[in-house]
This record gives sequence, C-alpha cells and structure tokens, in this order.
Amino acid sequence: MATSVEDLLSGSALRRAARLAAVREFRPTRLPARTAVALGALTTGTLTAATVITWPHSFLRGFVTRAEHLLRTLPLHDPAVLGVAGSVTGLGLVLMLLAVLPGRTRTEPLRSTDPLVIAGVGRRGLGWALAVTAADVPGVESASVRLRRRLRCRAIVRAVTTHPMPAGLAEEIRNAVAVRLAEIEPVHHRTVIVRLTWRRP
Amino acid sequence: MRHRLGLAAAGGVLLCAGGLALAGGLGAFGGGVRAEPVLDGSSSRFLAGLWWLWPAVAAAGGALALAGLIGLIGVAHTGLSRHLVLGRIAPPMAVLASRSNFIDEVERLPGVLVARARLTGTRLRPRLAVTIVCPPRADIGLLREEITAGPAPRMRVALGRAELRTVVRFQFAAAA
Repeated sequence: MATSVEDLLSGSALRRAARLAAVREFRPTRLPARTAVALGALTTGTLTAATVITWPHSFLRGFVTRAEHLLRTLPLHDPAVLGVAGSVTGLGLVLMLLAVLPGRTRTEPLRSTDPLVIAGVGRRGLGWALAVTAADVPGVESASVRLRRRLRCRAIVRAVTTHPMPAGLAEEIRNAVAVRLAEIEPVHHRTVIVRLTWRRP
Repeated sequence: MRHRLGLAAAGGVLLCAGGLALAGGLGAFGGGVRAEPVLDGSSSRFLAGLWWLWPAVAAAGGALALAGLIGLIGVAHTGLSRHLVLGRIAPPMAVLASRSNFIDEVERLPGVLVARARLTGTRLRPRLAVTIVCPPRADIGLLREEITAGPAPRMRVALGRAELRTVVRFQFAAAA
C-alpha cells in the first residue's frame, strides 16, 4: 500500500518523530569513554607509525625488543598471557556494552507533537513533583518518590500516614500520581507502585 | 547511535583479539597451540618474508591515529555544540532581539517562574537551549504545548531558520 503525504504528515508520525528526537537528545553521549578510546587510538597509532618509520633509531626500540622477546618465549597458557588476554577481553566487553546499552539518562524525555520542540525534565525534579502530588492527598503526612527503570519503568511512592489506615488511601495516592504523570507525559510509561506506612501520631 | 560507532568498533576488535588469545591459552584450539609461544619460529619466518609488512604496519598505525584524531574532533564537536554557538547561525542583533522576545513570551505563560534561553549548535544544526523553572504543581504538559504553538515557531521565523530545534528543560522550584 502506497504511503501518501497526508499519512507521512499525520499526527501519529509527527508524534513518533518527536518521541525519537526527545529520546536521542537526552541519551547519554558517553563522552568520557569516547575521549579515552580516541586518545588511545591516536597515541597507539602515532607511536606505531613513528616506531616503524624511525627504526632502528626509535626511542621505543628497547620496549619493542623486550616485547618481541616475551612474545617469542611465553607460551599461550602462561598466567601473564592469560591475564593480559582476559583484561583485553574485559575492556572490549565494557566498550561494547557502553556502545550498545542506551544508558541511564538524568533527564526524562517528554512527549511532544513537534519534532523540533524537544522537552525533558530532570529525574530528581520529576520525582519531587510526584512526591508533592502524593503528599497533597488528604491523609498523607509525607511522601517520597523513586523512579526506577531496570526491567520496567516504575515510580515507587513511599507515603507515610498518621491516620488510622483509611481504606483506599493507597489507591487514591496511586491515582493522583498516575494523573500527574499523565499530565507531565514522559515518553516512557511508568507503573505507579505505592508503599504506604502507618506512623503513630 | 552514530556517535557510538567508534566505541563499538574498538570494543569489537579488543573483544575478538582478547577472546581468541584467551581461548587459545585455555586449550580451545588443542594442547599444541596452548603450549606454543605467541610468536613461534615458523610465523616469524613467514612474516620476515613479507616485504610489504612494515610499510603496511606503518600505514595501519597512521590510519589508527587518523581515526583517533577524527574521534577526538567528534567528541569536542558534540561537547561544545551543546553549550556554544559554532559558526554563524543568524545576525547577532536578530539573535539578541528574538531571544529576548522568546524569554518575555515564555515568562508570561502561566506557571513559569524563570526562563533562560541560549542559542547553541552549529550553522547546519542550530539549537535553542531553554531552561524553565516552574512550581512543582505547574502543568508542564500545557506549558510545552503553549511553547510548541507560539514562542518556538516565532523564534524560527525571527531568525529565518526553519530547522531550529528548541530543547526545553523543565526544573521545579522549591515550594514556597
């Protein structure tokens, strides 16, 4: 089925593009790891090229000769070789994971209808706004919210009440926080979990 | 993901090299390989017969250094373009006037305590970084819609840059 211009410009396509733009904008850029890898590649490449070109007068001659001797004498099962190989494998695995995993962002991207307007709210700020909403529910003394995102996105509300446990207070808190989340409209849907504690007045 | 290709490539190379050496050392390729040194006599003789080996090693080193330099420039570009203007995006007077108008318009919206805006990015990818401080009970969904409908498109028109991205970060002020 052909895609018409109207389809492309429809609201859902725009919303999808805006969602993608917001997620990309606030995704961790991995600048420290990228800097380390770039510096490592620059140093290694420069030293290799310089050593080959200036051989046998290179200042690294002693190091290269020693390394060659070790490579000719040490068997693969030597603990030193295994240790170096294990470290290199571990480093490679860490770099691969840094590249592949999206990472934990400090800013929660928000939904939008325009890909050119990207909005976000800090995770701590969002948690605090949700805690204020939970604390506004009648019967709640204090509340705090932690935003978790491991297997699924959750907002865990810990609320304290001094009233004799009123029926349905947890449900009221859950509804209030869910409504507030719907108003803020984060890109990732969060399940609200309420843990209510009773404290002696 | 484009920015993370270098990380993935470096990780892949290290993982393969380290993994092969580890597998050889642990006996995955047989006991003979396990007991052999990394560079044995036959491989040394083979490498010594290749006239192009050392020029190729020098070229590979040069290519690696160039890749590292490109990576460093990319890192600096990514880091700086989020905070500074790299290149001429619009005439300076137009930037000043439109930025001031934008801040005034946003601060007039209900629920906005303070608004700050800064033009960043490059000539090809301009970006308006906006920080809005509002009370914890403010309806930021509505605020976002208002900015999308009014101030942001007007800023694009004022600067003559239809591709200007507006990146809004909301912050909640302490309750009074």
